[in-house]
Amino acid sequence: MRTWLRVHRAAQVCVALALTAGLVAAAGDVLVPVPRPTLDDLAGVPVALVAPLVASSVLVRGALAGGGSLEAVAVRPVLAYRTGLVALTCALSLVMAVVETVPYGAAAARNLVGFTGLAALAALWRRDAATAAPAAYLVAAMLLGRPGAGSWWDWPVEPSPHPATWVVPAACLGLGLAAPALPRLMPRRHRR
Amino acid sequence: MPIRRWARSSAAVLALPVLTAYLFFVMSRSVDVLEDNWLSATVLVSSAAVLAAGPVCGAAGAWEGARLARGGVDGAAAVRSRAAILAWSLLPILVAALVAMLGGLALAGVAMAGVPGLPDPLVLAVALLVIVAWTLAGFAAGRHLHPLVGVPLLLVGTWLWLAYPAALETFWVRHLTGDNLGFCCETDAVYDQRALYAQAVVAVCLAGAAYLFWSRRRGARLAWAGIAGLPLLAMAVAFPLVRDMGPEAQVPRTSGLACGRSDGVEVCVWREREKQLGTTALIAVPAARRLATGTGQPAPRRVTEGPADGADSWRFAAPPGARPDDVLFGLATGLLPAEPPVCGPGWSGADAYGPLSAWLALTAGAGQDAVERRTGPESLGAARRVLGRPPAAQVRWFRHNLDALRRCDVSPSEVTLP
Amino acid sequence: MPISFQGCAFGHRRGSRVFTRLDLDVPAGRTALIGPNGCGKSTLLGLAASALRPGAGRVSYEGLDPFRRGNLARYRALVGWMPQGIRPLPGLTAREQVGYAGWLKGMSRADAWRRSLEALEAVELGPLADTRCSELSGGQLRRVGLAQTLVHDAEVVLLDEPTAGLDPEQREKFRGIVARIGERGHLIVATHDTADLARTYDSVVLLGRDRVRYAGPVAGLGALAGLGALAGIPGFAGEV
Repeated sequence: MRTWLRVHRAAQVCVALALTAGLVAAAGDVLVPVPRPTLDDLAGVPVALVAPLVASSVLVRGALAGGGSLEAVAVRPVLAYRTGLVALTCALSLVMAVVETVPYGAAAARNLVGFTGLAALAALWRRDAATAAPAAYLVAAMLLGRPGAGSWWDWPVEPSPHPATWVVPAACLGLGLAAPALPRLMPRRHRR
Repeated sequence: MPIRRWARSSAAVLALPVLTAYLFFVMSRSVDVLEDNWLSATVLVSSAAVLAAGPVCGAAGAWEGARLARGGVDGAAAVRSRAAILAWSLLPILVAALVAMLGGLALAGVAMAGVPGLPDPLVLAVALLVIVAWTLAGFAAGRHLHPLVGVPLLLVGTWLWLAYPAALETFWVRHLTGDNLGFCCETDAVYDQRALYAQAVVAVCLAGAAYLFWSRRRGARLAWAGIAGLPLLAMAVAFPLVRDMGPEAQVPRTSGLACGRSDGVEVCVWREREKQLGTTALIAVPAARRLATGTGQPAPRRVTEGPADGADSWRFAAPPGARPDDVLFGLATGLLPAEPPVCGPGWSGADAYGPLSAWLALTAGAGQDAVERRTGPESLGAARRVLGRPPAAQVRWFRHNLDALRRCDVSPSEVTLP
Repeated sequence: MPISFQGCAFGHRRGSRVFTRLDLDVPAGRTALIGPNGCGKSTLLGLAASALRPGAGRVSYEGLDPFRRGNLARYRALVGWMPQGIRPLPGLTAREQVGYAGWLKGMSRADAWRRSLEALEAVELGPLADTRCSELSGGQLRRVGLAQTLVHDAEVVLLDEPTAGLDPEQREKFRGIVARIGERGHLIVATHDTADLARTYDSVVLLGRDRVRYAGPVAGLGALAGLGALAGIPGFAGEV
């Protein structure tokens, strides 16, 4: 297991998570101006909502790392290990958000969950570009989103950790983690 | 490989629609409030292009850099130089950025229809330089980082560097990024060239360091020295240029006036407003004479939108859409000090500003409604009370309160209604 | 029959087909899998290794279908697979990488560690056991791949182009390794190295586009050669 953790860059994931937590605690409430066509003035997005993208990328990179062909024929449940690594990291971020009561801590944890979920879904299509999906989604939400308006889709820029803003991120993560296991549970395709 | 096929496999194909959409979003909120000069349009386009293309091209560079690394370019004994190999991958991304920027210019061109002048090539060139620098930084990162990390890191990192300094109170940082806050300048100001030079220096050094990082070979100490030294050089050169600059990179404009004579007075407007010179003169010259009579000063020989000394030449502003009352109000308040004196707490001179403005505007011939809108009913009431006095008493009141605005030891007099 | 393919269909992408209906019983012992580029040799080995899942039909080893519920781990423990590309895992030494392969195959950490050195010695890489894989040459890395396949004592060993990139001396050594594997289990080798087929292998499977053109003793291939059926396969001049 130790080698599996090395191969899947668990140390780097921990460092990225710790750095993100530190950044959120130290400067999470700093607003970065974002141009939005729907508003008169430059609106700001707290750093805490953006920083988890990098931590999520490191996590996804770690989860998808490793000897592809070696793990493709492994006897051990490597898919479960990978799912566990991602789920555990997301859970850890939630715990940190609860323990470390800093502004936007919970929203940052939610974004980590959401970004990771989006990347996991994108990885089904193309692994090496998986993290481009949450990055693009974040940019779109920054441009078009209206924080506080209660819409379901612009959760990356929603500073409030209201339970409704968790629905999409949690669904993305759940689907993204479950989807690779689905082919084993579903009947075979391309039957002739 | 045919160029079309080469371009088709580039990340630029995906980057172009993203950055074009982003650029138009960034621009759409500002294009309606552009000033009537091409510099403001140029800065808006360059700023939007940098903010849109910097992060996207950086991310595309990280992708392409990783592609080159995976393709084994490092190990291949290529006939072409590393710079040539890099250039062929860089080119489609830069073309995408250029296309987006030209689209932005076209949009600005529509908004600026009828305004004489051309985009400022230097501002656009520096913007392109900044985009090139971040794209190269992406290539350098892509050589070592997997695209899963490199692409979002460059996208977010570059965006933070470009956007975040605008929120800092340390103003000099924002003048190094190339973002330019999307705005510069009003027609009576020009871009502070020091900021442009600083941005160019930072961009060149970043590009140089990124290229060295991408192309270095194992154990190349000279390359490492360059990678470490160039950022230091950038700071050493660029920081002194922008250290003392305020929140905006603009300085007063001193050239570009179009002048004519009216009733013995020379009238000058910015050349972008040359068409309105005759109409403006018909408003400004009689108003200047009324003001001279009312304040007991000699009539000016020149009224101008440009620099004025307040004695021989008086200043006014006639921006597009300004009504005669606006021009009169500008001319009248141009006689007041632009900034208050540096006095300690308890200075009450500022109380004189409203009544003096109202009295000057009414003397110049502005309508009471317009004056009340700008100065408030109290100031208008005080001014009307003074206007009921003999001319000599009005001049005394004006001079005393003008002193109150300029000096710390003079208190305003009769600036409130009893 | 060690590995059996029954009505297998497979495509890497929706709409593409490598096999539409493949029926093949791979002979026991040492088998060479030959055929022109792109005929599906690697895909066949991937299916046999259970790295790929057939769209239709079934693959089995002595009746054990890996994709039947509960069979996968048992099947994979019996089969070892060396794909064409062996990737060095960043930061791992040759011994760590081989040990990791053993651990993934269900061995305990201690067993995997112990066996990793034996596997490396079997491919004559013992002296380089503590060298990082990223520092090994291409040929050495292929031998690490072979050691990964041998580490867990698989009953069926699947090797995809194992001699590609090896010098003549290494190829000769590889033949010795093949002989040793053949003594204790089954071996299927996808190869373009058709010299000495008869000396190295017991049987041969000749794949054409989407079909098996020949499966049987190596000697039987000679008749096909006479019919010109081997034209286009590198290395064949009609002589086996």
